[in-house]
Amino acid sequence: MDVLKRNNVNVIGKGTQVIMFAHGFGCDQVMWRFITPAFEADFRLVLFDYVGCGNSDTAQYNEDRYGSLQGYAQDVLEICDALNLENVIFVGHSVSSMIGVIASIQQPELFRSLILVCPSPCYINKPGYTGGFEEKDLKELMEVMENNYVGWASFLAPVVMKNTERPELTQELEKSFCSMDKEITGNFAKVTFFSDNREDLPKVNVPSLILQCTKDDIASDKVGDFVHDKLRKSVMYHMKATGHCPHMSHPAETIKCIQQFLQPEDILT
Amino acid sequence: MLHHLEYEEKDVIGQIRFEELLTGGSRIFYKTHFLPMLMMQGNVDEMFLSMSSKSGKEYPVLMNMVLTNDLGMPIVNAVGLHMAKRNKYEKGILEAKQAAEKALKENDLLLKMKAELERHQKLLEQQLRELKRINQEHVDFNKVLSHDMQEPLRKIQLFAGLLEGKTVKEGVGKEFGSYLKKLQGLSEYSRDLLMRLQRYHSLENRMNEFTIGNLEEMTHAATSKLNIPEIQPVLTHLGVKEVRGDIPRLTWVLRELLSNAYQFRTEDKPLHIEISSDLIKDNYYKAVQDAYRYTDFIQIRIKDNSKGFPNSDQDKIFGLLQKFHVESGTGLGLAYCKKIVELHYGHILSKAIVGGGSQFTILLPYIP
Repeated sequence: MDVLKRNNVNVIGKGTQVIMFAHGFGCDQVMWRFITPAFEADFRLVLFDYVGCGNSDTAQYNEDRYGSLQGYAQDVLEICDALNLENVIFVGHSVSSMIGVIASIQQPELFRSLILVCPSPCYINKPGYTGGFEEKDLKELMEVMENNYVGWASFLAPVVMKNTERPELTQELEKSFCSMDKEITGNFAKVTFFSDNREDLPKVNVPSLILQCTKDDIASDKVGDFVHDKLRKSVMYHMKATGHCPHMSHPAETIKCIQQFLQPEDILT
Repeated sequence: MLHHLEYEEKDVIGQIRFEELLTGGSRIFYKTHFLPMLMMQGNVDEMFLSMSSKSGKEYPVLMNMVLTNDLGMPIVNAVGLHMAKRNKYEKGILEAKQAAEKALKENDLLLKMKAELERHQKLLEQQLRELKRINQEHVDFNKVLSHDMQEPLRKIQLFAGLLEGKTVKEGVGKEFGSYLKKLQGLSEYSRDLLMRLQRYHSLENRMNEFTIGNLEEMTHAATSKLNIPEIQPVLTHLGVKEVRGDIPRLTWVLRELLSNAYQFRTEDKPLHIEISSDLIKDNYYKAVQDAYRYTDFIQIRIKDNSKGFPNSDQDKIFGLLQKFHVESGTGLGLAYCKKIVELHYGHILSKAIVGGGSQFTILLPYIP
């Protein structure tokens, strides 16, 4: 089986030090588009889609494998293996933060550091822990998704883009960006939002950066503090950026944060 | 709309963000899916979202959004349509569709499972037969190793000894004496090797009852057995303190890996060995293809600063009679380790560390 085809792996950039970008739930690798140009000159960038997202090979989806975040972490490890990567700087958004955490526990020697963008180890409230959501919210999420798939065909049909600010984002995006297989996305949502990886955080032995946004409805400040507290070698930056996707809404600040974190390591020398 | 949501204009404008008006589920999908789409492609059409009124009543809407930059800052223009009736109708269709899909899926699944079961049964029959054959071979081979091959070697040694006695007594040429010594040495080496091979080969019949062992105590036992002052493993982090298995044999594995690190230590650095353990999840199925069940495994890591092995040879080092350094012993140690771990349904891996040293990882299924 061709891992690189399965996960639609794209390698760009002129450097040798690897940065791997992992997208979150509900999207695909295109979400890193505003971030990657800043690193192309000095790094080797690895981008991919999880099976069932973007332009991955949906036929490779296995319900048992992707029935837990472990299966997704195995994708990450298999990509590293297929490309013979070492010393990887892993950037994961949202659920990919935990996927990176799991992968780094399994094979810490593969990773140089983890950059966790809006991480949450558990989205559901538990005794003594505020994840931000109740089970009922997640049931609603499933319903909302179902409802949105009613018009799925039109959803994927090419649309005329009226994007005057960013003319570079044309056609290819219409078809691919955030396109998802219905069945798989439903399962991915369950795995993402019902997972509880709080116990995994103390097992991480790789240095990490937590990027915490202001007013993040999906991963709150409290959740960020919890992650920071449990991750042994972690640094936390509070961003001015609001929302849950700073790499798209505030790319310049996100780039600055990543650069600031990477700088003292003298990675380029 | 404000009226339906039971808000006053002053409570909302400049006070509440759009996403705060959504139900929890809608908020997640809006923030993780629609908003990224809006940011990347500038517009989203026909998104279904559920808003939540002040008192918690659901208010379903169909929305279109366009991102503009007209006033020098990003502005979202949104148009929404309340769709309670239509939503009810769609919900009805959806429910019927879901029921049909579920039935179809279950039926499909049942047929698939039946076919799979038959296939597995056939496979099982084949494998049982194969296992029986291998077992018989195993028994025969063991007899050859333990007796048929030992005996001639013993005799060669015996006769060589007799001959040596004669050469000494009757003063035959000196070189004969040294040849005979070599012969004796070689046959002794062969006997030793045979004995080890036989022990390796019959290991499954000699496993001890599984008990609980303490990793710290096992490391201590392994270290004191070796009794080499340079071998002082540091327990850096024990996420798991106890393992269940054939404890004497697992202790032997630790001992072998420690002695391995010592044997291949570098001259310029003092030997440093770190041992750690963690509970991780791994796929239980290693032999069955395309089967996944992530279960708990105890991961034990032994890290050293020895010369290590080249990464390209990692699979080979566990091979039978594989020798990587001239000063290696019989080449059985790591193969023996591998077999012990595999008899616990676990696996052992090794990896060269960037910058020198090697790391062995033992994974054992966690038995609570």
